[in-house]
Amino acid sequence: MRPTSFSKVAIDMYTEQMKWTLWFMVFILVAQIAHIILVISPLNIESTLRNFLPFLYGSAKIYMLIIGIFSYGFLTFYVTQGVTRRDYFIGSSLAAIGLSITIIIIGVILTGLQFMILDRIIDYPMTSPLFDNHGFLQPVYYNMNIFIFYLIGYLIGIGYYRFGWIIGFAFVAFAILSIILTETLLKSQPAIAFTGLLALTATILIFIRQITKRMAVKV
Amino acid sequence: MIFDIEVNNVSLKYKDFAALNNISFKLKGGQIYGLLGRNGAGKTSLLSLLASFRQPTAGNIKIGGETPFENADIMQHASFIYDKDYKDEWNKVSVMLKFAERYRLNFDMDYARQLVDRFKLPLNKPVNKLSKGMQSAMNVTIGLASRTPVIIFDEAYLGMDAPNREIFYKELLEEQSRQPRTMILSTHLVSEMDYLFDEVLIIDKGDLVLHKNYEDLVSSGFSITGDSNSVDTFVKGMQKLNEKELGNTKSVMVYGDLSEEMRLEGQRIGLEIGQVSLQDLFIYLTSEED
Repeated sequence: MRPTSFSKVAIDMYTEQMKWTLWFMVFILVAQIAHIILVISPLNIESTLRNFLPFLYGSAKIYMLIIGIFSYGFLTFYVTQGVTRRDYFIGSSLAAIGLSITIIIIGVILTGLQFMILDRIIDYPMTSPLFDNHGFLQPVYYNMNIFIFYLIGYLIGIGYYRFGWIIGFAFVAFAILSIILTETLLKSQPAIAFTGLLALTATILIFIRQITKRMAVKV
Repeated sequence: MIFDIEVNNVSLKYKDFAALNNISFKLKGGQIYGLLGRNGAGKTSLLSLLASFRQPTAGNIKIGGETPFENADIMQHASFIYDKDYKDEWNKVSVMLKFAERYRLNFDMDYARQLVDRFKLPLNKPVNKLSKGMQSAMNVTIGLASRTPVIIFDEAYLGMDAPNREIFYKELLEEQSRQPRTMILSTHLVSEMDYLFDEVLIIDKGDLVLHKNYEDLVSSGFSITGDSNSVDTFVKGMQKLNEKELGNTKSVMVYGDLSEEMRLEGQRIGLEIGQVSLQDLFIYLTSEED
């Protein structure tokens, strides 16, 4: 019989985290609708209304960071179920890629609906364009970036789990540096941004694999 | 599928602390092994290594002839049931069983349901709301129903009441007769569980102090009771585990083989020769320096 493969881990982790993610998306959508209502209401509240995608992206970074931190819990669970650390690493990474893509695709669809519906029924004071400085590639960058935030959280989680509090702080420092780097890269030329984000993703993935490769599961 | 286990010169260090010192043994597949040791003796460390939860600092382990660590073909066939901290586990018992069913290829859900009924486990209760004994019953249910060729129970009975412990032991033996597996049970409840063991391993302060067939082991411990002088003369040269004296009467517990001639000689000079339980042997083999 075949052992549990990384694809099973990927599907299960994606499904489990998607359940949390749907709650998160609903919450963000409600917040955005409330914002729109407040801006266009007779109260005439002065506020910059952004379209849904950048609004979602801003919160999704923090959300992905947090669920990334909790990833190490899945590692101990899977090893207890007889799954190798390697299969867990590949499966969890694929699940996080799937999660990032899904969040952004849902974001793009809802933003499209926002334009189509709101433009027709109300005078909609949109202050941000659908795509920022990277044009049509913007969702791709958003996607890469929230994936990186997940990986940063993942790294912090396993760093603390494996090395404890004191060395854990070094992981937080590395995380802050990585966040600054991604924000800087996103403002750069597309080629630099793309290559830089890809290199950062690979670096963090290598770190995670090296740390979890022989990691002990605490009893 | 039956897996032998081989542990060769295994040591484990946590920073400066040596948890296991150069341990070697072989376990034939399809038998039940009792692993005994005092608190902190290294039992859980040893079992963690067998379960691929960690790697030894030195030496090697083979399960079914292969190194188990990060080996999917072996890891999927070995379960480690231990006293897990469930304070953050909000999933229901039924969900936990489904997880096990999904990842353990031989998991038998019908058998799991039978065990749930026998242990009176509430399927719809979140695991962190269960009593300690019920959490242990759930662990045992998952362990038994997973039907992995290698199964390790590390004090899996914690918090279970006496009737549920009895159910656990009974199921364990029935499972073993249905489908022999390599089972390792670590325990402090020696007198309650000794009848389960085919072989016994005792570890003390990270060293393997004994590995013997259960029958041979309990027949190598004797208590010699009688007149102090006669007892002293009789046990000269034997490995003494314990001595008790009351007035002129002495009782000495010895470890080693006692020939039929010696036994008859003891009786002739008026000594009483009795068997020693595994529990007594365990206590005296691991408490010498206290």
